[in-house]
Amino acid sequence: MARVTLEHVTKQYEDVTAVDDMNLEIEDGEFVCLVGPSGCGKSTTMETIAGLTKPTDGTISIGELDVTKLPPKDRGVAMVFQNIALFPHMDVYDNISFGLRLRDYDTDEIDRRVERATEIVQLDGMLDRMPDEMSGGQRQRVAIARAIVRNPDVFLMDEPLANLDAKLRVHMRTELQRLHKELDTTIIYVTHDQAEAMTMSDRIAVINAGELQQIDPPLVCYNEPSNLFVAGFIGSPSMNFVEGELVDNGLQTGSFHIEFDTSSLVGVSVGDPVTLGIRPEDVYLVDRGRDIAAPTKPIPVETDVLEPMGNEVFVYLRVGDSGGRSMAEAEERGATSGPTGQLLMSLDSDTEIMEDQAVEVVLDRTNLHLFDADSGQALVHGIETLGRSGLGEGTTQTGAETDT
Amino acid sequence: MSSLVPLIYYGGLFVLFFFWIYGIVSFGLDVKNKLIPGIRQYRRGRKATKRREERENEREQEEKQLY
Repeated sequence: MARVTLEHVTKQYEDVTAVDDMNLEIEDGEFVCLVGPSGCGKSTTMETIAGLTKPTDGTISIGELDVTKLPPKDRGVAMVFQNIALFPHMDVYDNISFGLRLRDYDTDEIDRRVERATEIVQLDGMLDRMPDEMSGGQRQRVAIARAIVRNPDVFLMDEPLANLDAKLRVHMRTELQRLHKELDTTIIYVTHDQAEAMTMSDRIAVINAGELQQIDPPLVCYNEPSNLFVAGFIGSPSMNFVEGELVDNGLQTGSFHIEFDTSSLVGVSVGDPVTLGIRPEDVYLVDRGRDIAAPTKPIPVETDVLEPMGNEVFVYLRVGDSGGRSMAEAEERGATSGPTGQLLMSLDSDTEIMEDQAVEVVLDRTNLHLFDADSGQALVHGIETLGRSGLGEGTTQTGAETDT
Repeated sequence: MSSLVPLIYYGGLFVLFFFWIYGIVSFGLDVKNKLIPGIRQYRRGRKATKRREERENEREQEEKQLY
């Protein structure tokens, strides 16, 4: 086991900066996922740790050792690749023991380690099979076993499940979690699939455009995203964003008003543009919203498209000219959201609702997020803690009419 | 009749030498504009392929160190 530290790591390819001043501290035995969209620099970051790419600037330490200039073999790391990369002419035993034979381990030691690794990944009895006689999941387990036999300080996994089908991917997720529990080794895992990151990791490092956006436990990233990008990237379906302006007694968007005490907000003042973020599961129909402790005033909307998912229904809502942000604008600012004037709501599958139906919804004030529209940085998570303008902290007055 | 002979003679000379010189000049220009750049491009391509292969081999060797 070892602690991995990246200090001011930068990687530039001519005029492109793949990794920009990355600072990471990954503890002993921690499972950290590097997550972000394609081309964000997460694989490059991992390759600098593995030694496959030399950073332009900065230092990388594994344990107490500065490994920045060391070749991969001297770093005490093992890597599992997306393309699995088994030798097609070798059987499972030879594939798993390849690294040990390369390092001239004696046969007894190789046998002992291979046996243990195959037990861990549940490949007993398959040692004489050739890769083309195995399924994708089994091949990936061989690749993982090949990494396990070396007893590395750090496991690096670069989208190891990306080439597997959806069902097998979910199965392998639990296998990897079990593996981590059993080995208790530091694992750094690269994925663009935020569901994988959420389910497996102790902490998620969200990366965009080569820059680290946030590194926190999955639920902290989900509930307290540090900026618009993290808010939009973590969670499926992604968070709704609505543009608005800070006014004396709250936030005014194109078609509704949210009341809170604006004086408690730091870094913004009345008149500044602010983006409101709300997750689909925190949007309620008025009658169901009575169960939540701090609903906003009702907002009149019209249902648009329904997406039944089996256990829940996603309902797209038209919110008039609400100032909801367009996808292009949102992406420019590093967030994802629905088109203008649209909110996404998640309902139980037994809810009776039709397309093109006029309804009223409320938002859960405890789960409303405010972001500075200019910088994209989070201002507050849960506006209920701010209190309501003129009513005092924690007041939960409801039932007033919506300002439109 | 007396003026036709030199006309044919000089006409024949012109046709013969024009295409002879034209051929030499064309060949020179082809060498300059096509053959030499083509050879250069081929050698550059060979070098680039060799460099790429070297990079790929190096990468493969480094990846094997991580198995």
